[in-house]
Amino acid sequence: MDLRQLDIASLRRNVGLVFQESFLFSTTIGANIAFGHPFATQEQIERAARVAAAHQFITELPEGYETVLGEGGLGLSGGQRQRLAIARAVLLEPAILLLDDPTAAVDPGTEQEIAAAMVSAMKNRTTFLVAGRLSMLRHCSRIVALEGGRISQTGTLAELLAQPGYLRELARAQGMRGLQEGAA
Amino acid sequence: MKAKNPRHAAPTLDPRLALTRLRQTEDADEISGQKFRLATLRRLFRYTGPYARRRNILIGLTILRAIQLPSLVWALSAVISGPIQTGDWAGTLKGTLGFVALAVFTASTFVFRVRLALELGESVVFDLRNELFRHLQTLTMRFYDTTKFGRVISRMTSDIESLRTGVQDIAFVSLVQAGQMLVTAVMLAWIDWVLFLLILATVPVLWGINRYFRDRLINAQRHAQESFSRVTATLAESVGGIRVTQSFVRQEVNSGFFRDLVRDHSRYTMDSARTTAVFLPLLELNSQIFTSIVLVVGGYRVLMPGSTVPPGDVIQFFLLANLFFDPIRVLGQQYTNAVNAVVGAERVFHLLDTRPDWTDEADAEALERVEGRVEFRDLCFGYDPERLVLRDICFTAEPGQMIALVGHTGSGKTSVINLLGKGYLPTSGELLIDGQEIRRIASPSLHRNLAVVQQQNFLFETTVMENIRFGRLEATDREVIAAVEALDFLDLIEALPGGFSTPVGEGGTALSVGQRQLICFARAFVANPRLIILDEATSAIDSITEQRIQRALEALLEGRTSFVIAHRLSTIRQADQILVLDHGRIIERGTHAGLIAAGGSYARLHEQFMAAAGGTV
Repeated sequence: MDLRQLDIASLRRNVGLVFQESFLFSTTIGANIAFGHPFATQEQIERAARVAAAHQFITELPEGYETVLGEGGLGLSGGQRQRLAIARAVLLEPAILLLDDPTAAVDPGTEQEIAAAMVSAMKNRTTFLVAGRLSMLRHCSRIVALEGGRISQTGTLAELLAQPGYLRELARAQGMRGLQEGAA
Repeated sequence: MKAKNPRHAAPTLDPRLALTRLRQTEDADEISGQKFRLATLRRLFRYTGPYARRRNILIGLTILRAIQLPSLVWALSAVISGPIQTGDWAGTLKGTLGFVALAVFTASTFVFRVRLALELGESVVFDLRNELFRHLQTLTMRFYDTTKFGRVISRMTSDIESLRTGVQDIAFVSLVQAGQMLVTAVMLAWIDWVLFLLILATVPVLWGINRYFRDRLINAQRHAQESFSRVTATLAESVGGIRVTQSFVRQEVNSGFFRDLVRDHSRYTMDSARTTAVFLPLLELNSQIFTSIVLVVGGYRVLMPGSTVPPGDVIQFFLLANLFFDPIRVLGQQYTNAVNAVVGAERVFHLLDTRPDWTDEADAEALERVEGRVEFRDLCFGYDPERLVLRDICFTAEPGQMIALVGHTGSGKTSVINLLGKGYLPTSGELLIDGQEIRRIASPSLHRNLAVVQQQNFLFETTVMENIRFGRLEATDREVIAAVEALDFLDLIEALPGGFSTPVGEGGTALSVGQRQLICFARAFVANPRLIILDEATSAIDSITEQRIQRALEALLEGRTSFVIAHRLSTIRQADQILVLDHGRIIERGTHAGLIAAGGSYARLHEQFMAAAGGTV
């Protein structure tokens, strides 16, 4: 079915979205996770949080799921915010997951935290992952490299690293020369 | 009945649907109840001290006006009951002339009475705003960690405005009104003391009605205000989170909730409107009833057999009586204003009385010619002293060395650099700069020798040139340009539409993340500090800019002691010493090569990083 013919609301209900930098509302953590489905049960909320590897840090907060976020409320780290955003997307049980480079704005350590959440969220879902860094690409079945609005390469990570082109350049720029050669 | 009225039906606000916290209790915590505190009013009036002359003239004019107003009416009625009643034309003209003279005199003093009051209000507001801003800048990070932006803004705006009313109106208007009432009362008793006693009896009734409705109004208005703050807060969140709302298809839910919020707000506005709608006619009716009573009693006293009361007296009485009653309404209004002004003043004073949680010690000394040796000795620190986030931190940075801080989120990296900038004081242990303990270093001298490049690349909304100059305000244009040259990105600035005078920020040209970062580097470079703190930006940047940033970074750190929260391997590798932090402790330290060889936690982190970044299986 052509995208233009789809009802936008029903399309969006089936797509879980996570952005580069997630906007969280100045309300409770529970309400943020349940944003797409405000009347979700506590059980559903916790299940989503577990998938996003967020349940543990939430329960360690003094007020748990009732903790209020935002200005004057609690400040979360980048990794924690992104995991809440992933939980928010997962709660909808979407068939398609769209991850727009969720680790773009975090340090490598935090990247690991988020990556774990992403991998478990991607299970059994068609996932589109936008990535500027190489770290997440090994979890992808297929990589599409875009340059100037055109597809320049497609294939698995190993295939793409083995051939000259954009991906290999990227690997080198990110200081992975040795590993890239090893992979090749 | 009321429940059937849809405007009156209380919508139930479901907290699950809210985009913000529904209860806005912060301000209520700060000020307990709306009580009228004389001490606050007294403190407020102390601010008129520097303008004592103006204020005293104003008080004089106010008392004068309290006499002038009844005198005008007295003069008018004296003409009616005197020359007009006796048919004396010449006397009438003379009397009128006197009346006009008095009116002109009254009007001309009124000009000054108004002008001086407004000037006094503005002067106090001017002083308070300056004092408040100055004070805000002395508060430590801890204050800004826990205070809402909006709250500071409303202290400076709405609270100061209600306080202005307090200074320029309440005392003076009340004085005029009370004085007018008093002078009129004397005149009324003079004319006919029986009638005067009669109207005196109605005063408590009027005052009671006034208080009852005022209280209801205040209450409704407070609820209206509170519900409105929910509306605006929700609106702000909705706009900020529109992308999330649309992608999670919550437009309908949000619109519904917003409608409930607005309805809740309308309910209070309606309530206040309804109260006003009853109040004003009631007041009017009241004065008509009173008029009828005076008319009957006064008429009887004129008409009764053997009466010595001339009809002119009754007319005079009527004219003056209004001057006696008007103040009751006005004073009621002033009371409401006074309550608001006191509440506003208390909030402002509360903020002014918030002391920084620490200040430089009295014997703090300025740092002279800094070498750049930094030592942490058994340092422990917690934002809350009960919960330490740094424990037993011990390390030394020799002058010119680069220290890289590595660790997971929450490991304490940011706390280390916060302490270095003297944003917080150590809970225990010592932090020495050139052997001088940080508590005993005068903050300005430390900050002159220390530049901080933050992760967020904060720039002010002015030109590139001014943003760089911010590092050292007396730097010349030439020095700013030299800094950019030294960091080797002059070509990038020159390529901007306005070169160095290109505005940055919301209204101006959107600079790329890389450009913003370079400008922050130049800002630090211009300050020519001995110490540099750098929280490396994490945003992915294209590889070309990345290389230029690396080069600029090397030039910036050259020869200075630096502390870097590094996110890039290339940066970490250059460090003279790497400190690996975990849960607030240094668990490993050494150079990149040394730590890799040791095969500990850093080596594992590195391996993970490499594997994630490039490995296939």
